[in-house]
Amino acid sequence: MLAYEVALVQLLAITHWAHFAAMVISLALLGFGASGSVLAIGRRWVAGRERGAYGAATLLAGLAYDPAYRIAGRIPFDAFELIAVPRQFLWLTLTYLVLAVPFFLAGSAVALAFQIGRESVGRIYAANLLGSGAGAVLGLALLSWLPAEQLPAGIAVVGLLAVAPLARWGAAVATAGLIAALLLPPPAVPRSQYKDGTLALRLPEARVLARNDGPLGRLEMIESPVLRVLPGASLALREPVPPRPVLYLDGQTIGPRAVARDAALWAMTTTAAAFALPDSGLSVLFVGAGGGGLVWLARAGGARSISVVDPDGRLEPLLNPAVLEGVRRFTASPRGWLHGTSERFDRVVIGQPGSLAGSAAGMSAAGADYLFTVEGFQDLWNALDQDGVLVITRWALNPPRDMPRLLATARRVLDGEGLEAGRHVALVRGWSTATLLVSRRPFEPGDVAALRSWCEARWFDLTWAPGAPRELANRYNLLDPDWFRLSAEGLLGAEPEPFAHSYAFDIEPVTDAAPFFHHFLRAADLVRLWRAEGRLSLPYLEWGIVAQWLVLLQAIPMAAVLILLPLFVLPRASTAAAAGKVEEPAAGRRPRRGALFAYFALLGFAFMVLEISAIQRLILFLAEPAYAMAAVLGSFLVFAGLGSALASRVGGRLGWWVPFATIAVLALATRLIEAILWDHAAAAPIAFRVIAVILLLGPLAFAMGHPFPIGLQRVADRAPRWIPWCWGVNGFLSVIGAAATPLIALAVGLDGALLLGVGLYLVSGWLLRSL
Amino acid sequence: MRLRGLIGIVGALAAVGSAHAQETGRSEHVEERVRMVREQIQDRGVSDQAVIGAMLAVPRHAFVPPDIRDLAYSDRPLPIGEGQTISQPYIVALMTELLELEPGDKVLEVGTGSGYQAAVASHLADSVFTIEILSGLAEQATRRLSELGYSDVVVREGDGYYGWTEHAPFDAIVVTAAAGHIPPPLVDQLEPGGRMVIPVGGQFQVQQLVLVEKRPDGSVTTRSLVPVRFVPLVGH
Repeated sequence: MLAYEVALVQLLAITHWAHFAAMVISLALLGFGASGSVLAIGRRWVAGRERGAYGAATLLAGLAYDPAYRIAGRIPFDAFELIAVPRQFLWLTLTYLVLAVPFFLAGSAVALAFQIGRESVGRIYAANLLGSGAGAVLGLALLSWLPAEQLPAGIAVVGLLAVAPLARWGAAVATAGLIAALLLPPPAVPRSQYKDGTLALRLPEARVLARNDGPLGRLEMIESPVLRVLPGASLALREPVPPRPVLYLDGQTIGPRAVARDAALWAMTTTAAAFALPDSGLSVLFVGAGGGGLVWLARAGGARSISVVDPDGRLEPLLNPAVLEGVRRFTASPRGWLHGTSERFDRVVIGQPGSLAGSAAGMSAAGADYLFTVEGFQDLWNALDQDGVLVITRWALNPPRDMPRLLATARRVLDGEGLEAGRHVALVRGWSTATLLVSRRPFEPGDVAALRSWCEARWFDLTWAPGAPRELANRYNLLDPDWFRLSAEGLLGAEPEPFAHSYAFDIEPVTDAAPFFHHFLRAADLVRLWRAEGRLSLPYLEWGIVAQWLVLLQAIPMAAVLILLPLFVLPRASTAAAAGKVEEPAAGRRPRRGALFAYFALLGFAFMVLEISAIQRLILFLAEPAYAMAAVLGSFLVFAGLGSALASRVGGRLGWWVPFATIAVLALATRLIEAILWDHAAAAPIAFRVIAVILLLGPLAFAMGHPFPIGLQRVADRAPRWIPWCWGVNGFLSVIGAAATPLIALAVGLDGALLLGVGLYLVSGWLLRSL
Repeated sequence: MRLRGLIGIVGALAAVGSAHAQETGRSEHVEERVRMVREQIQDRGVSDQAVIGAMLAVPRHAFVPPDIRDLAYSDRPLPIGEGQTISQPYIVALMTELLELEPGDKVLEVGTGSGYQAAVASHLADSVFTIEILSGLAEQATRRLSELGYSDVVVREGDGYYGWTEHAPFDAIVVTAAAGHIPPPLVDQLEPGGRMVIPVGGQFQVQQLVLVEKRPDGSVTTRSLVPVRFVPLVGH
């Protein structure tokens, strides 16, 4: 199941614009929770048929992986249309429901296994935990080995091979399933029709020259005789841009595959300002080389040495072979590499603004981006030599949001260095992109004069440079008012805070503790937008966040209907038996129902808050969401399971407060150790980092496994008829917690989410006293 | 403002109210169209009466896929298939107003899409030449515009990157499919004094409209306009 979760996150990332990790975890929990409720209702029917039901559930789970994905792929859900077309909400809900089916079947199988093997619960539990850990590893391995469309079938094959011997007729069904999995053409991985890559494939004679799937996503190179990409090109460019094959990651533009003569074209982009200053023989570091156009430009400009740090090693064979001659390539997370390196460069260039459509829509608003946090900026700054210049290009959307935030971040870092920010910053703006230059040494009049003449030749505006006249800021690409200039004046001037506070968007710098660089809309701004327009204006809504809200909104009724509602039909007399308990008189005082449900609800919610915020936090250390998800989920499932197993044996002997205090201490300690690991092992091999994370989270997860069985034991002793409800309430809040955590993290940051999770555990510990 | 708007509406409806209009669906959804123009377009500051008349005259529902036709006059862009959208009514009106079209003008549109923008522009200019690279959309737009009687709109399937040299120069150009750069041939084909409008952002979110103006000396400036009333940004 874990492998399927990892695969689904990958497949949804290819299809849509954002990572739906929280949604996948949420729907998996929905499936598991619903299976518990349904089994509770159907216990009488199942009685005596456990083995057959188990075999059926296990085989059906294996058989369901691929069809569930195929059916979900046929649902016309497109996250990009969520606001424009109301029925997309229905498609989202349907997708959520269909993808939960294999988890429902697998959850049923696990529950039935425990019923069948009451005498060997320990061994079953151990096997389940081992499988969870193996599933995480298998998921990652399959991402590397199989094309994305074959992932569901590949996981089905593994699952069916494992379960075939378990039922009399299982071998035959499993064999049929295996043959079907191997013979059926793999399902097409649908992709939002609005993604750059999808649009490119609709062009005349378009074809995919190369495709490679892996944990980092689907990498493609597409060509068409009419596909021309040159982001931010000057209007002074006289020659047409020639068609070039273009590279895409999960359907979003990386850049065109450039050849040597394209250097002249790239010289007409705002990023080329990196080489407009009067110095030569530069050592240049590109953070992501795109398709190589800027590398050609640096080489044409006489760069002494060129280095590229890029997380995706698959790019290299796709680029023009000549472009990398003499170039040092580092296949690593840029942030991790920068954090660990002692090398220094004359230029550090981040020249790829990414997908314009995705950027404009705010599809990444709920995603963590650790490169442009204050700490990330500091790492970039530290990689500059004494005359070095950091160069960052972004889309120049109006009114600007990310560029003012970058200016504010630069100001924060320069203040920390004891430098006068206004003298170290320059900003160049074209009609569609803007490029920020931050220099180690103050820009001299000669530098400013060079930038000025360079801009004039390209009809670019020199928005800001020390000593540059104001009229240069708004000459060719006119803005009224020029918020880029006003932002520079405000944020680089004497009092940046009042300007930042009064700006219509949140442009305060973000930190690693809340690394949501692409999230600019405060709740109060929504009110302003409403007042200004009498409605919410589409251009400023951040659709990545809207999507998260909608996932949460549909998860609540879904989980209520599928997990809680079935429990209402349970006959009172059978509720205890439904949980596999023999009806017996309750011992001691009966727990208050409110406290009982609150306890299990808080546990479910708090567990997911800690788990999902850990995934978001550890994207920094593990560099990629897929690695973070597999490592964190695997570690939490295995170690929490071990903790639960041990708790049912020793729980009664511990003081009620011990597990909760341990969780609080370990959660905070884990956070501290994460920081130490980051400082000392950011550039270590990925296998080492994954193992380190698993071991780091192990003790915390182990402790988090205790409260649930301890509480359940109390209920079993005093009010056994409520056991199914305790399971149900816990499952319900787990589903909600998984869907809500990304929004909580946006509101209070990742450390805030961690503290919230710890606080909820402490409250539930207090509630335990009354159970 | 309101009175002038109503006069414009009445005038435009009178112009439209022919038997031909009934045949082409123009007489349908009139109330919705009037409400759309009043609430979404005039109330947001579009005041050019010719533009308002054009927005009233063009049956937007005819340019929207049948399954979402009930949303045709809502205040949002809508999908038309193949990864393309029909722009929000206000954006179409604003872009048309920015072009400052006059009788006798020749317009080039790159990215026909549904054909709606071309239909609106044809009410103000003499001729509209529109190029669509996606064959499915080009065929649909050609058929639709023909059925609706827009004989002064010429649709061509092909790559709009090089413009339409046979009919150049153009008084106005609309580029709805700019991939991060404005094709240099289009700048060349813009008449000195001419205007080019480019919506920038996602398919469903026009963040800004970029107006390119070619001066008599051939030099070019751009002007970025925010399509919502969201100013001032600071100072509160």
